[in-house]
Amino acid sequence: MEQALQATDLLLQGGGFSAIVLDMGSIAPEYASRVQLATWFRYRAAAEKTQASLLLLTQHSCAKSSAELVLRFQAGEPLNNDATVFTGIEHRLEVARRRFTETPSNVVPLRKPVQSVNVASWSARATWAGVR
Amino acid sequence: MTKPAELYACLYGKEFPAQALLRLRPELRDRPCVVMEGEPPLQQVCSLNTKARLLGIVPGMTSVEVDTFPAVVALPRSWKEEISAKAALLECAGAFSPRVEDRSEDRAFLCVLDIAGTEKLLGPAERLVRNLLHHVKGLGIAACATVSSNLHAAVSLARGLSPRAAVRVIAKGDEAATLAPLPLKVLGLREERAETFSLWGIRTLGMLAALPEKELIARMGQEGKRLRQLARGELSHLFQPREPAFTLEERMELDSPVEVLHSLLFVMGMMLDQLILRVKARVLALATVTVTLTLEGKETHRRTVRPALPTNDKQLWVKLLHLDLEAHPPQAAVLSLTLTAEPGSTSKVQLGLFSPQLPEPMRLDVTLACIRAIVGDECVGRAVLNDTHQPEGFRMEPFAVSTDSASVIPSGRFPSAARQLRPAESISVTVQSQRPKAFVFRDKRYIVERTYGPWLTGGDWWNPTLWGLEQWDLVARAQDSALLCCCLVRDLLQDRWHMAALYD
Repeated sequence: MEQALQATDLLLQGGGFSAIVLDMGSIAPEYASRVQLATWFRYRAAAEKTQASLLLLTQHSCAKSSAELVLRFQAGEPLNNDATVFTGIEHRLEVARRRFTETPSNVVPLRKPVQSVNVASWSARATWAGVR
Repeated sequence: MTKPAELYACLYGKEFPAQALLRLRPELRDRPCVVMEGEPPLQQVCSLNTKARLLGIVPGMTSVEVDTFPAVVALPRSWKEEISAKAALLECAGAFSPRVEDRSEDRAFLCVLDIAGTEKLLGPAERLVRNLLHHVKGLGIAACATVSSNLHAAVSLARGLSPRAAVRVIAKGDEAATLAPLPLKVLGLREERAETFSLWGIRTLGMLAALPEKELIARMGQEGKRLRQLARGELSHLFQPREPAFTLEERMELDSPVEVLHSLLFVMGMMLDQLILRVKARVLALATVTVTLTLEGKETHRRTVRPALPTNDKQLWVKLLHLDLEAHPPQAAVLSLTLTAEPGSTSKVQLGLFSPQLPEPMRLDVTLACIRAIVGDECVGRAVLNDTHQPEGFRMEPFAVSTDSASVIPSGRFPSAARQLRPAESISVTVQSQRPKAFVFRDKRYIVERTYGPWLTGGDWWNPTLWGLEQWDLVARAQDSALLCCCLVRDLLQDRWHMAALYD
């Protein structure tokens, strides 16, 4: 894990990437939460500086206040539309926390303002499952 | 038919063994240095710099005699470093004329350039040779140059030129008068001839030129005629140009075995300077650099560094070589090092206004090299599938950023992801009517709800490494009602079950 954190640091400092994914999904929460908060704060500052998006995948939220947006996945339900092959999973996620939300202004707009959606769901289909 | 106009420039570097060694050791240039030649303990001084000459050292002194002088640095003669220095000089001369003849002597560098017809392109002869000397000085070699319409006159004058005058041009027809005051040793006479002339009281070329031709031939034969023509600057010469291959190689023999990487990098920096200087003269850049280290025990350690784009940035090269050698350190102390480079074209990338943000290639090289140093070579790059259905059938390839448009993922279709377990975890499975019914994974018991499969794969049956697998996709539920979608694999040869992947 130490090596992965160092490599992420280098990629963020190097700059030029639009998105960097750090996958700690298979690391147990008790180990992932041992990473110091200062590390996530440093990543956040570096990502802001180099205009990169850092996507962190963990079993529990680790980055705390350094995260711009925290998304929580619900346990996925397997799709059941084929008897012979595994076709995919139905995913559901909700926005757990958003750091900056648009402050409502006093001006009443002519158009209906954009409504934020906090819940989304989609089905991820296996590559071998046919198009339906 | 009229004879075409001839004009030759002669480049002459004295004390070449010493200059070739001091070229890559600038810290020694301000100290008296001598180059020793011969088998120990019978070494003799074969070349020395001006500071050593002012101390009173002369060529031919033994090492015992040299030790009596204070603070003199004695270096062993290195033929290989002389060869690379000579190649650099000839290449520099090649930038001024395509026809260069190498006439080097044992202890001096001497080459002749045919510069007839270069006046319109490179200016008058004097400006040309001053430019040439400026470039040669950049290579760390002090030399002098002469110009004459007779090749031998230019060579003789260069050998006898006083240290103060770096450039001398002989006007056409003035050869005999210019050469007249020079001593006879510039002709490189054999010992017996030199003795004969000294008995006759002939000491300068002017005196030799004034001797009557027929009487000289009667006493010395055709050799006498040749020497008289040499002294008068009239001997014609068949020019034999060499066509050198463009090789970028620098070699350094270390005075003592070195184990510290930072000391090596300092030397490498000096050598890279020289390589970049030579490659720049051809409007090229360094594409790859190969470091060959000769270690104690006759072993060699070879590493090649290839950045994404050819570059002449010395700091970047030093950084990349540093990271590479840090990740793959030599196993013993280093005796000598050779840098071999391949040139590449200095490429420019046209950036688009709407093209996606890309990492700068040079910074990316350094970043990747840093990551390689942390996690190892085999863990950095891009996974590429092998032509097999075997599990783990992929290899890592070097990562490169393509400037083409990014591949478009069709919208409206989200492929599901599987989290591969490496290595696959062994599990115990309860089988009922040849289908898995329940299994224990990470100390949790799961009851299988839905089963898909089996999918059979196998291969390499013609090899001892044959393999066969049975794959099952399962949806299982634990006792605490947690759901698990996973891929189980049964090794048909060993009849063992493994958890291969979890569907995310």
